[in-house]
Amino acid sequence: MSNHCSERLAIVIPAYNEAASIAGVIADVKAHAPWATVIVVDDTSTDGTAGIARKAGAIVLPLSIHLGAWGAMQAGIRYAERHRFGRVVTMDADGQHLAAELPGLVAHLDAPGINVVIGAYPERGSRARRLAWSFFRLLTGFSYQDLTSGFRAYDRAAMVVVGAREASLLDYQDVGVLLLLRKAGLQVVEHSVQMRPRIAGASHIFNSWLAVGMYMFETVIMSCARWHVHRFVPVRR
Amino acid sequence: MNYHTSAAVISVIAVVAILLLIRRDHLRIRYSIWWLFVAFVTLVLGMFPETINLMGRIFGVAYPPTLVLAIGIIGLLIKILTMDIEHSRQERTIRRLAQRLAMFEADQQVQQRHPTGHNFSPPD
Repeated sequence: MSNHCSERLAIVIPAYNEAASIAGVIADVKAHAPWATVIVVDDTSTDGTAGIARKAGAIVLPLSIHLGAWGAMQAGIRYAERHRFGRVVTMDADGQHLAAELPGLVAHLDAPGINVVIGAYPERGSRARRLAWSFFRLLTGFSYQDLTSGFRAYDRAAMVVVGAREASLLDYQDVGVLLLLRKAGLQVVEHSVQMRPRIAGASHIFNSWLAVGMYMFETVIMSCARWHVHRFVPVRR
Repeated sequence: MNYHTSAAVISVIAVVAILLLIRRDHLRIRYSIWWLFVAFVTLVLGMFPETINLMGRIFGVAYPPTLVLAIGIIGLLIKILTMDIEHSRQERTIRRLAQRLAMFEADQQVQQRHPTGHNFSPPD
């Protein structure tokens, strides 16, 4: 039997200077998932994002130092864990992720043994980005189509894993988090979603060659350091 | 001035500098161990340079002064690596503290908005 209603859902939205889009994103979530609690993590914005989010009815976590997308997300996940939410979904504040996809994404957690759902939209990547993804798949042994999606749903077991100290030195939310989840033996599945082209601004990672280089370097080193011996896992029936 | 005195002077200056830094609260006592050790080694090597030749013979190094340089560089590399490890530990702690602070501030906000005890968390 599905426990869709008994598990309280938190939507964590990390935001850095997203005054233009944050209110719309919160309204969207409230329209499509009125039972969810919206948690906006304000990563030291200077454009009044926090105030707008509060007015729109979100709980706002005001970070005192800039932690980046993952640090902000982790703050929200820890908050949800602390307040005994059963599930958490992370979303971008720029309107890229569609609240209409929330119910479908979260529904996968009803299946027994599923801990994390990735909202996958691999079509969004440029050719270079897809090439990088293939490389990371090869390096990590993951078969996910969309390794970098920030649109994910976590159950309680996964919240505990990604909220732990071990995850606090990560600089990006994508491959490193998946590596930790695999190490903890949790099940991750993908769910195809539609995404909207970014309303404003480009990807924070793919906007300068230096940042791309740093991201590639960190991800490669991390994948190598967290080597994983491939085993044949018997298929459970 | 012979090499004995210069080695002794350098060591004493180093020890006094470390003690001054601790006295002014600029250096954690734990970190002074390394620096006092460096001063001690400088003193020993300066006062008894024969130990360098002895070490060269033990390790089979033809020109012993290079051994001193090599050991010095290895020691520095280890020191720098442990500093980076310590730095990483601090970064982790600072990030989690900032997250924790934000969590408390959010709780406070929620409480101020709903002073009647309305809470989105269910009772235990």
